[in-house]
Amino acid sequence: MILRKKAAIAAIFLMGLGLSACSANTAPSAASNPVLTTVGQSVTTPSTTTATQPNTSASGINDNTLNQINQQLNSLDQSMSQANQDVTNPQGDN
Amino acid sequence: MNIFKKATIALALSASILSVGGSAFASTTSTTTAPTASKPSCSTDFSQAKSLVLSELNNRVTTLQSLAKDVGNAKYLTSNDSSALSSEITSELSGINGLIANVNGATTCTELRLNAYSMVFTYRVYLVMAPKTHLTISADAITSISNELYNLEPEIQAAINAASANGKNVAQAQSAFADFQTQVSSAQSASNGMDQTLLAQTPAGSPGNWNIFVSSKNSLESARGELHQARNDLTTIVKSLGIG
Repeated sequence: MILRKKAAIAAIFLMGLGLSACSANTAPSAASNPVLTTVGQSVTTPSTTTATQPNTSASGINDNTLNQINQQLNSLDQSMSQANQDVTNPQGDN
Repeated sequence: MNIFKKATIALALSASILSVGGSAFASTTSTTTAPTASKPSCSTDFSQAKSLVLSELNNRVTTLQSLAKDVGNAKYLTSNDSSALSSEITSELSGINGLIANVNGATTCTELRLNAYSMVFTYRVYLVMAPKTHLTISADAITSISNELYNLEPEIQAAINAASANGKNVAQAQSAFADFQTQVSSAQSASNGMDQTLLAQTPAGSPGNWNIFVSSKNSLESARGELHQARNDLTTIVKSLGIG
């Protein structure tokens, strides 16, 4: 009898805290539970105190960029070489 | 070699043709009028004259085929310019092949002269089509590369700013970046609209349009040097910021 009273009091207490859903087989709802919502935010929100680093992935300027430009310039050099040949030493158009 | 030296060589080659096939081709090198009547020397050496004309025609076919290949392989040629050049080259190839058929069937020196004249003045493979093709390819390449480098400028400045915010001395990078912008801007200006100018040149405009090819070549050569300098500037920036 004493145990039954204690169980009933505990159930009422838990309902008052809004945690009664925990006793069922459903997951707790963070949206409806201010405690869980606060906990979730504290986990998912990163700290913003980290210093910004000038890394290559952020700027996009790195050795790969230079290599690509070099390849483009090589292609340009080839076409200009032909153009130079045409203009400075043309074949006989006669 | 300038166009005047070119003309001298043309006259010299005329003389060599004269010795083989008479004066059949002399008029094609120095005037824009139709060739005159055949001379006995052409009749005497007709087969050699015919072979010489065919050789010159086949050389032009080889050149035009090479130009077509260059257009097909050009990475930075715009689709419009590629289509325009391909169309002209195809048309010239068709025309030159038509002349080959004519010359193969020719039985008189007059026919040879008319076809040789057309080979030079109608098509201008060497003095118009070749420089026009290669200069247009180069102009489009410079436009494409300079635009790409221009589009990198915000990222370069952001990298410099970020390094500066971290306490790094960015004086060298900032100076190199200023030069980078100057070089890229100059290259962009040099090639801007040049493709249209080049594509507008025709065999009928030769040799008067030779100066356009020369000035275009000089401008593009300068722009090419500017893009190389811009690349050097960017190398300096990457190294000085330690972002390689």
